[in-house]
Amino acid sequence: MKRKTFLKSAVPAILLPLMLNNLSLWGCKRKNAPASSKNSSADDRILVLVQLEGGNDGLNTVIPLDQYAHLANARKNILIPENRVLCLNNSDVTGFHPSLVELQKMYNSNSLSVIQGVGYPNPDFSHFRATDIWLTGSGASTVLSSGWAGRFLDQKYPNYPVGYPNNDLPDPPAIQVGSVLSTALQGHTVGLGMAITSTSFFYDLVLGNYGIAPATPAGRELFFVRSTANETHQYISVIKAAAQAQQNLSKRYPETGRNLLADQLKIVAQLIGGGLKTKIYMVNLNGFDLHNGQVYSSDATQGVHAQLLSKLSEAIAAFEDDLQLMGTQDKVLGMTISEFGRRIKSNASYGTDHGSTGPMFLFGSGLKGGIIGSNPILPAKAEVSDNLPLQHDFRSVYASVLKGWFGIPDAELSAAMLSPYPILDLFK
Amino acid sequence: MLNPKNTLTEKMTLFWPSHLVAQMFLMKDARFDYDYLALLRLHALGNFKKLTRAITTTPGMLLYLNGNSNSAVTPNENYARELQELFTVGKGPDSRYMESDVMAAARVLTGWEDHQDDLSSLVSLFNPNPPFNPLNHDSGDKQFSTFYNNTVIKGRTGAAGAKETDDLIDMIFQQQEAAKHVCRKIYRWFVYSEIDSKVEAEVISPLADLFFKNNFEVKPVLKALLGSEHFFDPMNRGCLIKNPVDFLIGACRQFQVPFPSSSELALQYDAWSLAYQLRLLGMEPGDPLNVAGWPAYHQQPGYHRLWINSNTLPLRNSFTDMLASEGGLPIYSAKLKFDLLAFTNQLPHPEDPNQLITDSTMLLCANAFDASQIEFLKTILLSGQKADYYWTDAWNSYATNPTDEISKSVVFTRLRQFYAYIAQRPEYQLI
Repeated sequence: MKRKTFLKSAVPAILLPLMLNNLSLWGCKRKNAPASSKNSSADDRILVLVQLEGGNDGLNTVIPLDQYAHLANARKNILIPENRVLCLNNSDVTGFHPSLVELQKMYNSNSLSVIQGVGYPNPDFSHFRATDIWLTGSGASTVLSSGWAGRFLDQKYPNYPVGYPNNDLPDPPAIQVGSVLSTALQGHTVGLGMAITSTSFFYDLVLGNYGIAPATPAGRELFFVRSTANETHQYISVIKAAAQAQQNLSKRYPETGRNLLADQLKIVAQLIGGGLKTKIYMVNLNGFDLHNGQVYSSDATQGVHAQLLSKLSEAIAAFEDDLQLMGTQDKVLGMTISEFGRRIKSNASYGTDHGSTGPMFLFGSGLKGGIIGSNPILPAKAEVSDNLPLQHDFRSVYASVLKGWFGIPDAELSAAMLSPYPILDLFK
Repeated sequence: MLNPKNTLTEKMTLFWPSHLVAQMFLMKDARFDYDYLALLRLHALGNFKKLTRAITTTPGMLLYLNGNSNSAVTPNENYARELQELFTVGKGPDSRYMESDVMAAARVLTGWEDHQDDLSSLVSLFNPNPPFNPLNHDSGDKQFSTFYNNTVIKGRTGAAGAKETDDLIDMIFQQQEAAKHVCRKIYRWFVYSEIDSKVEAEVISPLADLFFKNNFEVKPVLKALLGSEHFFDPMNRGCLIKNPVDFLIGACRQFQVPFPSSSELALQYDAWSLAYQLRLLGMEPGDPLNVAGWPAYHQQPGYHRLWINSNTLPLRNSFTDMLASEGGLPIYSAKLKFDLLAFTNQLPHPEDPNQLITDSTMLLCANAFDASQIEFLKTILLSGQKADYYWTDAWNSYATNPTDEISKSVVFTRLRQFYAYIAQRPEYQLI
């Protein structure tokens, strides 16, 4: 709480010169300059999907303190010591992994919600299949070729890409940063948006930096095609204009290259601040498939999982800080997804195998905050095959976001989600 | 072009109308189009001199370059000029034919008729005796310049006047320049746009000698060029920008796009309207923009780079994106789709993500991908995971049970993104 008060009073003093500088440099380049979005309407709201690839270990992320003895039985070698678990306001039974310091602060200020036990019936333990299920919004036994967000955007922007860009939507419907366009953004016929395949590609683009043409004929021609490609992509000019209209304001981003998720979110914040009308952004952090070495044998609070969670926490905090400084925080909702949680029982190599359900994080000032659902009930002595029970279908969360955040009518909701799902009460 | 037994024949059948241009859409008679095209295919790997002779009096060409209205009383020099300037001796530094040669050649060529209303006028294939009207022929002697060794083509009267055209072709093809001009174009068609003095001396000149010595037989020239060290030199590989046919028809061939069969005739014609997409990309086969042919093969300094611009490159990308998508590229009622599973199946080790990347990129692109691109391709196949066996398991699961919808969708989803990404690379624009 204190931090937030400090920020509120400190922002104008610290940033006034910088912002003036920005205005003089870039302020006029784009007409729809970022407006203060205190009262964001459903129409200008944005969703940022953060995909945690590999299957995040939910039990070491959101820790059920009321089940601690059973947890200790199941995963002694990777157990976070009870006194190191980060406590949450108004909850003495649930805590966060010690690396999630920033997310703890956000939770305590009601700008982060946790949804417990998210998955689907008859979970699939294959990364690929489970990922496809989460991205398409299918069930375990059905196959869909379009993505759930793609179907939403298909409704919103009929016939895309024919007739786009246009005055209503001069910008890509969706932007993927750091990868190819996700299956989640695949519509009935084409992908609804563009991929900024790497952060360096983005900055080269904005700066018009295409490197040096190699001295061979093939090198020269490749350089020619590459330069043309970068100059003529249908959305390049709007991306460039947005990047020029808004610079990142937060000082909390780590140095470039240290936290790839933060690097991606930094671009997203800049594009949102620059006024793009893009509805959905997607970023990713990979490496969660930790069958071994999830924690250091010497210290279960340290290790690869701790590093990943720390990156997640740090990246989201810097992103939110940036949005606040730009005045765009009220129109942005973030959501983490991961193809599955991991097994209750750890393995002998300080890791965990593929499991069923896990927690989801939602972040943004439009949320009510708190924990939706309850801690999973763990068996006293978990067997290798034991898995966490299902509390919330992931499609119920998607549907709640489409309805509660984007405010879409029921007909569009059913066209996007294909079946009815319970709507969760997530938003203010 | 989609299913040739001999790809080189088709490649040359497309080359010749870029050189001996008669815009097919201006012929306004499908029989003329057919005749013109049939001649090009017949002589594609045959004899350039014979082809030029036949093209000279095919009714489509007589119509296109006004040979049908070239008479003794009202000469029309159009064909006589292009025959020399564009089709044969060209405008190279050593080609010194004169304006008087154009006039003399025009006189030689008087008397031909296209007889558009008469099927028998389809000279080359259906009727060995093309319509020649001696009344319109200029039967005087024709004097040529020193460039043609002061040749005089003796005027002939009656039906024999038609033989003067053979004399004209014989005279022109005694010039080494005719061989050089075409060899430069063949070089730009197969190797690279830029011809520096070294290439001119070491490749074009010897090729032209060979062409000339073999009385303008095409095969020995192609054999020499396409079997040369120069052709296989890494410096000269993968540097030619694909023309729209190489790009789009090539993609359909590489990825084994199934086309409707003749049992679904309407659908088949819909799919063949892919020619319209080629037009959007700037190259409708048989119909270059003007008599000089597609600018990519003669327009300095851009040459092949003229295929790529702010309009055509995004279009190229959108076509391959759609071809790789679940919905395919719609053309009227037809939907064209890459057969990504068939393509992948033909690779030696589709189950190994590293081999799959190496083999598919080598097959699809002339230039090797750099390490960061290969790593990126791997993240697509592995959905961001680190262990190769995730892909291997997924592929094997599909391979052992190819009809299982779920196993199929798991590999297809990744291959769709994988190949769409490859087709978007600048590397895919080069051949």
